[in-house]
Amino acid sequence: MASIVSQPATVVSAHRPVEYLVDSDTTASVIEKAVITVYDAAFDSVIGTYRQDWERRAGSGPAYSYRFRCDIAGLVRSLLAPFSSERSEVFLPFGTKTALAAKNSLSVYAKIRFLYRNLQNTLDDFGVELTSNTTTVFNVAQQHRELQTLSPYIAASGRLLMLDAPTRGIPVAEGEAYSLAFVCNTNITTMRLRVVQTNGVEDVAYLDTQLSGIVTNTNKRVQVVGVGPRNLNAIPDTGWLDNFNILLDAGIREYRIDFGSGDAATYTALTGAARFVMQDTCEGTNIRLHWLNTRGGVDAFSFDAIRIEETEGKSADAVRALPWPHDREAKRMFKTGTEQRDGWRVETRIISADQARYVAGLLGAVEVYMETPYEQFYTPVYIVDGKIEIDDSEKVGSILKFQVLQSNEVITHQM
Amino acid sequence: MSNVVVKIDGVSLPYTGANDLPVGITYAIDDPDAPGTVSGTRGERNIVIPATKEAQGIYGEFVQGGRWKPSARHRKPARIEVDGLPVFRGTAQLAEVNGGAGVSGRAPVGYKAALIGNNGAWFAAFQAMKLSDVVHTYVEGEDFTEVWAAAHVDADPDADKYGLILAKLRDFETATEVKYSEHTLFVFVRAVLRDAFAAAGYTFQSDYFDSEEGKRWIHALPARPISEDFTAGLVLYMEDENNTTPLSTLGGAPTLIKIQGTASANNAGLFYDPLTGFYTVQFSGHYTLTYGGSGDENNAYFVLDDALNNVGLISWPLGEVKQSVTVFLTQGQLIGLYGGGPIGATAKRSLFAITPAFEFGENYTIDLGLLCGPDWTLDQFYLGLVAVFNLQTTTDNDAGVVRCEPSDAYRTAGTRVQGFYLENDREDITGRVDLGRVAAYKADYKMKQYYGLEWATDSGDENAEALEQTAKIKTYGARYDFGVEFAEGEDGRTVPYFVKTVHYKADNLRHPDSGVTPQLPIFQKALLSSAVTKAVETEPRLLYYAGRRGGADGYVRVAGSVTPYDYPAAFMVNYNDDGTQADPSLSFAMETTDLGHTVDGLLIRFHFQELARRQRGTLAEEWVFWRAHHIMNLSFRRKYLINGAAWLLKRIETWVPGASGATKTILQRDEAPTVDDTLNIVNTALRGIITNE
Repeated sequence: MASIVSQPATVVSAHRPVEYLVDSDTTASVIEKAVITVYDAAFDSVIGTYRQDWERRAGSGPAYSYRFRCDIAGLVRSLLAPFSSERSEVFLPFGTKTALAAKNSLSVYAKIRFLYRNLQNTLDDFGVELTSNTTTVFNVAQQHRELQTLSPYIAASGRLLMLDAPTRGIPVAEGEAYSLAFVCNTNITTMRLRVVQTNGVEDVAYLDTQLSGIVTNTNKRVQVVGVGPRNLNAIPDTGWLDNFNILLDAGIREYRIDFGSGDAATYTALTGAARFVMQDTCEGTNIRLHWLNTRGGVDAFSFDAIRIEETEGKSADAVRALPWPHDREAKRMFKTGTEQRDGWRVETRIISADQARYVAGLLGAVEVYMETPYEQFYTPVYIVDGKIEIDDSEKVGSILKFQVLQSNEVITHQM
Repeated sequence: MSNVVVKIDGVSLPYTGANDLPVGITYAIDDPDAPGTVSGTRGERNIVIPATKEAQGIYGEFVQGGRWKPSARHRKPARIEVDGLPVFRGTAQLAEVNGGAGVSGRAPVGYKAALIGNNGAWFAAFQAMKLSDVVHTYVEGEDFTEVWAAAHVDADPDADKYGLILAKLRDFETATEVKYSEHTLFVFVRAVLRDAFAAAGYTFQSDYFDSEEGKRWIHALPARPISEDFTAGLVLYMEDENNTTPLSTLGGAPTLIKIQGTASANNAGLFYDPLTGFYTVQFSGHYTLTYGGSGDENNAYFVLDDALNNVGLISWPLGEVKQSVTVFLTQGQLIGLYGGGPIGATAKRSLFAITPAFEFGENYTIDLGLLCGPDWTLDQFYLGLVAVFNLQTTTDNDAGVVRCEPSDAYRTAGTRVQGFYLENDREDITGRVDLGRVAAYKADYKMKQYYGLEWATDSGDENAEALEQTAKIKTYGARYDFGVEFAEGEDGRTVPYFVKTVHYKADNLRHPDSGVTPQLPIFQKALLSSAVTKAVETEPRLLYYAGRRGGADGYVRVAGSVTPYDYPAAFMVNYNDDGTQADPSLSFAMETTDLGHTVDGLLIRFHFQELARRQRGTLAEEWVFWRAHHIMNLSFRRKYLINGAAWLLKRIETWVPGASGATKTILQRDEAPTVDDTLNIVNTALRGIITNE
């Protein structure tokens, strides 16, 4: 009997093989290829086709069964965020409470057919079709030393992990935004905000995230919620359960965010908590960057120690003949191909190794934006290649230095 | 650091170079851009061997002009081993010797040897060999008599190397019947291949040519004017100014005149013995005899054999004469010039000449080599077969074995048979691909829309030309439509060496008891309707030897018998097949027989998969780690898997024995034709049969 010997788990990472292992029927016909057609489960539409060759056959002849192997990770990865042409949906627009990052995951299934050599010695359909289970593939990259299962992020029960790089406390300041992403696979309806005030008093507020109204709670889609002070302070009291809101300002020392179900009285946490530590800051003097982390979520950090704004230009020389009669204002040498690019050299304060590791994620991030206070848009930037020291046993902490350039160069006149 | 050993002629030699052997070896099966060519392992450059005593033992001093070692230039078995594993098995040939200062002249300081591997050695040998070199020994000293021919009209492809078929070469002596000696000689292709490879020092192996179908391909050797190269060796011209042999009186027994050749002599083969006065006939056939002398003595001259039988003219010339006559002489016959005259006469001035006037036919001595064209070389013969059957060849120099098979699995006698590329031999090299190097996966976009496969027409073959007229796709031709995404136009391949043969229905010869009208191949170039008495030169013809099949191919009338004769049939396409014979066809196109049976063409049988590969063709330049043990076990017949997709290995470029890096490897994606692809085949609308004689 033809069968799918193994297939990807229900949820998998796109950054590892997403592989099907298929056996054909045991047959005297010479089966040569398997055609694996991959479907988008949401629309039942074809997204790719493979023609694989068998890698081994079993049997004693003349009847054999043939085994095929097909890895569709490359195909699926090409359909998942990020794309160079657009901002990933996990970068939550300012002024928006929540959003769905639909391109962070893709549910697929495969139909497998076999081609055999007919009497004319051409490849013909063998007439057997296998259909795989549906697999949801996420653009969550897990490193080699980590478990490869995605269950910590997507389990149907227990406390789900957030799609951020874990740190013991994410520094954040009043007026700064933060996009927190997680996989919504349970009936999450409520966000809990727990604060510790500077005087040590703890308080708690609940936000109706309305997630259950946005997505089906089992569709394994990535959900983004704005949880920075800039995001939460913008929500009016009426947006919170019982109209109770806590303003995240200088009176707050740190706060924690988790998600769950129920109201103030019945709240049950379904995710782990993200911990934010409030920082003093002088608005407009730092550079705040948001970047796509390896989990497919967003990390952010404010570089508030040293910020040196730079602009660099380059051009070519050109020389033209002077007019006659001689005009004293006439130009002979001029510039062509003028380019100007703005950027910054930034440094952190002395930070812990844990935070340094978190910030170092910038080096590998392919999508980085700068947040500007009060502005409702992200400024695309990129981090210049380089090397940073995350930890130094001879020092109490690290100072990270980067060069940041704006993705868009300055528009200049051309001669 | 690997231990690299170079052995030439069994002698282990040091080599000049740093760590790695300064030789890159390319392992290649064929050029994917040029199918139908033969290539193989070859050294990319020469190897320099220091002139140690071991090397001198092989090559001698060489730079000393007087030192004579004829074998120095010969190809010698060469072998390169890495840590004991043989990675190159081929031949080495001396290319250059560098001379330094010796005590008393030049002394060799280094030998530069070219490494020739895999298919290189035998193919080079084939270029210098002719078909005639191989087949001339098949029949020795036998004459093509009616009896001999009758005994050879039922050749067995397993036991015989040659045989006879019935074909139309010239007008039959009697239009309604055939003589056995009017059959045409042929050689089995398999026998030629075996003997040719044996002559080059290899054993030929092929499952295909050993199959019921493959062993029946024949190379026809129709009678033809025999080459002057050969006849020149039989020529005799003897003339004496004043031969003093006393002649007997006219009317008595004539006197043998022994001509010494005092005036002029051409006795190329020394077949005329001046001491005995006889020319010994070497080859049965027609000869022009010329004799003469000065008539002033009123002498008479006779050309007689040693038993005084008249074999030419007997004449009493008047005055100075020189007369000629063409007669048939049999090998071993002794021919002499005799004379007679008045009392006291001597032979005086005498002339005796024999010139072969050969056109192969009945009673001639058979030498199959003489029926071969002087330009029929074995390399072209082999390339012709490669083009017809899409053969792939690989050589194991160590074992001295050459294997050739059609590239891909094919169907024969209702069964699917493995081709050169084995479908069950696969090796996963996914983990051996060096992802750190940039690979190139190339789409083949340079092809034209159509790819044609066809047979050439023999020059002046009016019968074939009459069938073809202005048709775009000629007889037995077919073309493959790659699709409109390719550039407009057509390229393709015409079979080299062999030319097409068309057939006719020999209604005149048909025996009344025959169920079908016999179909004969036509070798005569003039139109069937014209009278043809002489055979002309033809280019090589490839046919399928069906043999005598109890009337399945019809019966003809044979001279001197009323019994229906199931002649030995041969053809490119059997238009008499109703499907029960299931004869293979040499047409590239699908052909429909006169009885409505459809016969698969060569294109769909042997070339289809190759074309499908080219159509969807991905050609990969990958970087693969090949270690010595991989090279030792390297097989071009294996399919190599990368990420679950099968590739054909085409070339490993410049692999350096002992080096540790990845080597550029050319692979071709193994595609196969689908049912829909059959719609891309465009068959000729012509058929290679003339129905009205």
